[in-house]
Amino acid sequence: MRKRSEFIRLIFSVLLICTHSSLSAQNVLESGVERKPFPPPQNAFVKVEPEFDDFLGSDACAGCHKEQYDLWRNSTHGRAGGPPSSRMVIGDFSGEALQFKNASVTPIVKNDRYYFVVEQEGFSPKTFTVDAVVGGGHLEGGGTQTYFSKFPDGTLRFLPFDFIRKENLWFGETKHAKGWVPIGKDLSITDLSEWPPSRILGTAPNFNNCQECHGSQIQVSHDIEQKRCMTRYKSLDINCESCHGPGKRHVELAKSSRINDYKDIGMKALATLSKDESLKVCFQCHALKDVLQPGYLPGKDLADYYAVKFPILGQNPYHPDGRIRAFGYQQNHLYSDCYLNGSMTCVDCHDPHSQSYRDINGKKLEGKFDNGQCTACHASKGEEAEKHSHHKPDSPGNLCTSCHMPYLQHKAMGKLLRFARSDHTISIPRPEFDDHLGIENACKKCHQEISITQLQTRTNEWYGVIKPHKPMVTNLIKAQKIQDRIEAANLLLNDSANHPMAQVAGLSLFIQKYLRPNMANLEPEIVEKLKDLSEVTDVDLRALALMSLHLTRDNHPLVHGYLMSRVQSLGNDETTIRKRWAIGLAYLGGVYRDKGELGNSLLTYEKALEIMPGDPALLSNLGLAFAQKGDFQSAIKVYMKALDVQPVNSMVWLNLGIAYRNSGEIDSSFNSYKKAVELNPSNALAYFNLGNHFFRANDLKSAVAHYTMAVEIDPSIAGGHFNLARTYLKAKQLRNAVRSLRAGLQYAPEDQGARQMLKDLEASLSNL
Amino acid sequence: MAGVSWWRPSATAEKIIKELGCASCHFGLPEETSIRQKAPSLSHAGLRFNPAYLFDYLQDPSRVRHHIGLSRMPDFHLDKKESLALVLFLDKQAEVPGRWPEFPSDMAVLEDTSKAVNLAELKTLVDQFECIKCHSLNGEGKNESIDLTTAGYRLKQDWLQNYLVAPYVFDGLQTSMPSYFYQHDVTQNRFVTLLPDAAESISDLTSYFFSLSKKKRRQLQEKYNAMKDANPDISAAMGERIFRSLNCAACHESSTPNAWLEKNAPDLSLEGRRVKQSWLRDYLKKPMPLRPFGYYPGSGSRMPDFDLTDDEVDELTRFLLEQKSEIRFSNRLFQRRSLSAFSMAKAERLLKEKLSCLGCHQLGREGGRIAPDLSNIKSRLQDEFVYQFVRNPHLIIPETVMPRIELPEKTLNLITNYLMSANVQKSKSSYLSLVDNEVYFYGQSGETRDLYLKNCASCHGINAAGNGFNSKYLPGEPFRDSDAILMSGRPDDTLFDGIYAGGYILNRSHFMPPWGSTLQKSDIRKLVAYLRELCQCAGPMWSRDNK
Repeated sequence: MRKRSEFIRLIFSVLLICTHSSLSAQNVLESGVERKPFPPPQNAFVKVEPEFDDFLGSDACAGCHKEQYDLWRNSTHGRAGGPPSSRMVIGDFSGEALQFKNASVTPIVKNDRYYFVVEQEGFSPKTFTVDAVVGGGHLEGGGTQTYFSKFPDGTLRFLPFDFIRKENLWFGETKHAKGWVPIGKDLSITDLSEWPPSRILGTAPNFNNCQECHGSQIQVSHDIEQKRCMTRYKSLDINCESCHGPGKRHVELAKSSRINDYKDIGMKALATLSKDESLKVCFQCHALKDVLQPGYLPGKDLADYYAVKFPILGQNPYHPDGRIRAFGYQQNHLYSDCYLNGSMTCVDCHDPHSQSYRDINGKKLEGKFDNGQCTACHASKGEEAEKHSHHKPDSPGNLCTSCHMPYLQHKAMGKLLRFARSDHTISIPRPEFDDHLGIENACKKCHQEISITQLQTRTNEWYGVIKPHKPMVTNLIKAQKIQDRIEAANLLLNDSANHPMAQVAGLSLFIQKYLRPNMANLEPEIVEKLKDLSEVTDVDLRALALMSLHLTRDNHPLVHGYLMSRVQSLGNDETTIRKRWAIGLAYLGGVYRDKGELGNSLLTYEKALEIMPGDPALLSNLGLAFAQKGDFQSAIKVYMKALDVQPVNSMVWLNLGIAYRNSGEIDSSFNSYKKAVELNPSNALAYFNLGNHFFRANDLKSAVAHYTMAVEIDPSIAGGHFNLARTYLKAKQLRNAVRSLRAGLQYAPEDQGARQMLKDLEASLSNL
Repeated sequence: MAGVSWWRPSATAEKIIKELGCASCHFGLPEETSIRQKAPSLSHAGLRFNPAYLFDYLQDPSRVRHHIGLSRMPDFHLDKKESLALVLFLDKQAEVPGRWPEFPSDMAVLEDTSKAVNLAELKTLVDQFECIKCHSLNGEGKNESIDLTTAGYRLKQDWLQNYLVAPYVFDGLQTSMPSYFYQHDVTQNRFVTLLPDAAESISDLTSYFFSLSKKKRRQLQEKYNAMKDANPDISAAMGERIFRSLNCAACHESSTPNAWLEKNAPDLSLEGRRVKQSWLRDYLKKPMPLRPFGYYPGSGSRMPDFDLTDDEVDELTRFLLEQKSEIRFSNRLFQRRSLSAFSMAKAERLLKEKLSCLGCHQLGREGGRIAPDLSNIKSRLQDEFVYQFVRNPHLIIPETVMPRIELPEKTLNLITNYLMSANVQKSKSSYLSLVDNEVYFYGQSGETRDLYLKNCASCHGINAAGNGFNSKYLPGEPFRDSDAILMSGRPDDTLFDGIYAGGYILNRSHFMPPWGSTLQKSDIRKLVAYLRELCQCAGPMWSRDNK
């Protein structure tokens, strides 16, 4: 399954072209005293981390661990993906074309190779080889299969033609929140959210991505010499080392026949992990998470690479009670009572090798709906489940999962195709509340004919007063209607709620609604509450609280002193906290920039850079904010700094070029663009800007060549097509201009100027 | 275990077991009560024994009676405080059997034994009454009764005089001690003299014995007084509990109501399938504390040291290892294997961080003190027994407090192999103080209070205040089930689930074991109700209708 783009904040991404003067650093505190800057990271704790070559693949395990290997091989993880083959592929590649409104796509298999031939109106036909298959349609709530193709820049890109097993049809994910839609003549190929293909397998700056989860040990790196990406993975299933970590040392020891002498055999005993450590193994993939840095591999500390609660900051993917708002994974288990007041980990119910079901004592269960999953702990309810469920013993209503873990359709996928996942918050059915949130109530799954009011009445009759939500969840619900900052703080900033996810949600909501940089009027009691939160154990919550204090009140001498002491005592958590702190600020910097609050944006980026000095992504974003403000000289300075750290970053060169251009430094601008394409020959936007350069210089031939390159690489750059059309027009090549306009309008149908131009041109051509 | 059919008599071992009274405490041995005729009655210990002597004696019992076969008073490892408590209790025991007529009036005035006496003169009385024909005295005489040399500090003066008036009143008519001085008249209402100077003779004999021990008696008294003064909080009530803990009444006649006469030691009918020879030999020679607070946790019972001779140890070892009663071992037998260093480390981590075993058992320096130390289990127990016992404890030892834990076969095998091969540094074992910890008793009837005391009180405390004797050996405080504030936040079903599936599932200590495979669900419901009685509270409002 794919992660919806709307939830991904690409902290590395440099946004599209900015055609558009530095605030001095905050050097003086409110008291008039000079502000001492925070010290740079000490990086005193250098971890020895696994590398790609430390992984050997599952076959290396089979010899000694046959039992586990065989279980795994037949599991959903073992069958999660692979190279295309008749055994792997479930989609219909018989050669029957999929008809879009403006394209036809033909999945075909020839000589055991799988292809999609795409014939899109206004474009030359294009053939995509299927190089990787992800998914096998295994999942109960809607299983699909997805195909990837190698691109010239070295990436493996997702082809937006998916196959869903149960419905046995092709579908695509569409833009504009329509979700998953069967492919048909009423659908334009350009309505697909990933057309042209832009989402890559693995994590890399500047790309939408699937992180490392749809395969094993996926690593995308930039090959400086080859000037392209390098995508590597061990396999497209989820292999043994995905959970167990790199096997190289283990296998070497095993081969040495002295393995029995070693306590450290290069593998952890996963059965001995604590609750949260055990969950982390699964949250590598079964969680929405924000990237802190690329390059994660199993065995590395997940917290150094991903912040699993940070997606809440922004478009919170969860309802206040943790249920999925639009799309998510099983990480909302962290909202469940079984986690908060219990010890439940994924492997208490899911056998990690076979992905079959078991109870907390390891006893094998019949299947995913077996009550034993719950009653091995909730024995009180298992005594006579029907008394609790009020449903007949052998009926579906008497299954724990029917009411407490119903399969809920994820809204992001729309309603046409089934993408329902069992609710891992392990909720209690509350018909009216559920309805209020827009969630299909569990009762409704079977009792469609009964109204919500009636269901609520029945629930009241059966259960009387229902167990209340956790206090922090209740606070989140209440806070939705509150406008007063103090009142909201009392509800949302709670350091002792013992509910890290809801606490992060509370703080995130508060940050977005009430906090801005340098708030001299922020109430002292709120500052105190933030301080309390900055002392908690949870790294995400702690970092967000520190960030909030830094954002709002760092210019107060006492708060600055407090933050200084905290920065100096981060110890082992230094990298973990600083990255989160800086990325939180960077996110807010982006939000302010998008809102046009450019002063706030600059301030926030500068604060972020104090926490992670010299971070090229932060510098790039700061540069963009300067550029958006019209302060191109400052932008140039900042980009130059970024290039000092990362001289091969093609996107920074591009943005530098744009800033030079806007400063009137045409030659520097041109050279920067050239450098951008030299470093990355797939940088479509750099070609586009070179095209603009040549167009302005009236070098139409070169302009055509560069615009053409740009739209070849990324046909969705509508401006590329339109500028190409303008160039053709200038060169009196009207038919070419018409073709380019039509192509561009496929991606920007609302562009009235282009539409008018096309109309005029078509009219004049018909008059010829 | 009545009516055991596996009993194979072994002349010597049987004699030792019978005469020591092993079956008074242990399951799995033929019942034998002759010990109660041989051990002195304690129903009137307060009249009879010098408490200062008892205080000393109980800490290190030496052989007093040589005339009662192999039987002997064993060492119960009592420390000073425990001895004091027990003595304070014994000193209150003043019940004499039979009808007791008034003492002869001429006994009313007795000689002051502290005054100077002519020992040589008095000694002639001893000769006259031929005391050393049965007794020993100053190295002379026979060992057919107790040693008279120590009588002057062992006994109370009044009692010795009264005893000499009519020994049969104290010892029963079967006593071999002759009545030289008095006897009942026909009405049984008064004593009549058998000798003209009976009262004087008794007085002189008493003076003689007490004069012999004057110095020793004073020394003992000083020590005892100092101990009493230093421990004003130690009471006879504590001693009474200890009296019951150690099952003293199993050997000694006693008038104590509710003396604990339950079996309170392991079943020896399966010893041959349970323990290892070398360990058993060492243990019999020098018993070490295995269950620091009693076979039934909290009861405070102890395996005493009988100071067995090497021959006795050999004979008992041989005999016990022959005892292999039919135990229902599972068909799946233990797979012994050599564990890698990694597997050893894994097993250790599972024991310390995941499983409930160390809630009760010690491993190295960690773990509870309810059950035997696991550090040296490989030298104590046989592999198959450990495996089978962990697998299904009650099938093998029905009365055991060890809960059955549902473990995957692999884990069970791993843990057993670990235990049977690990070299864990054993810390010195010692019994828990029976004075500092309040002992308690329970029957096996299944009554709720008994269920609670047997299975829960060791950690949670007798009154569920979270302060059971084992609590101080646990990493966190056990839940205070009597705390109304805490308990009001917990639904009955949560309490039920916690008892059923263990502390781990409530995100509390994994050392709280799951009882679901040990207790009946109805018993767990009863326990929940009992906890509600203790806390005098109900669960949260939303949970009260047991939905």
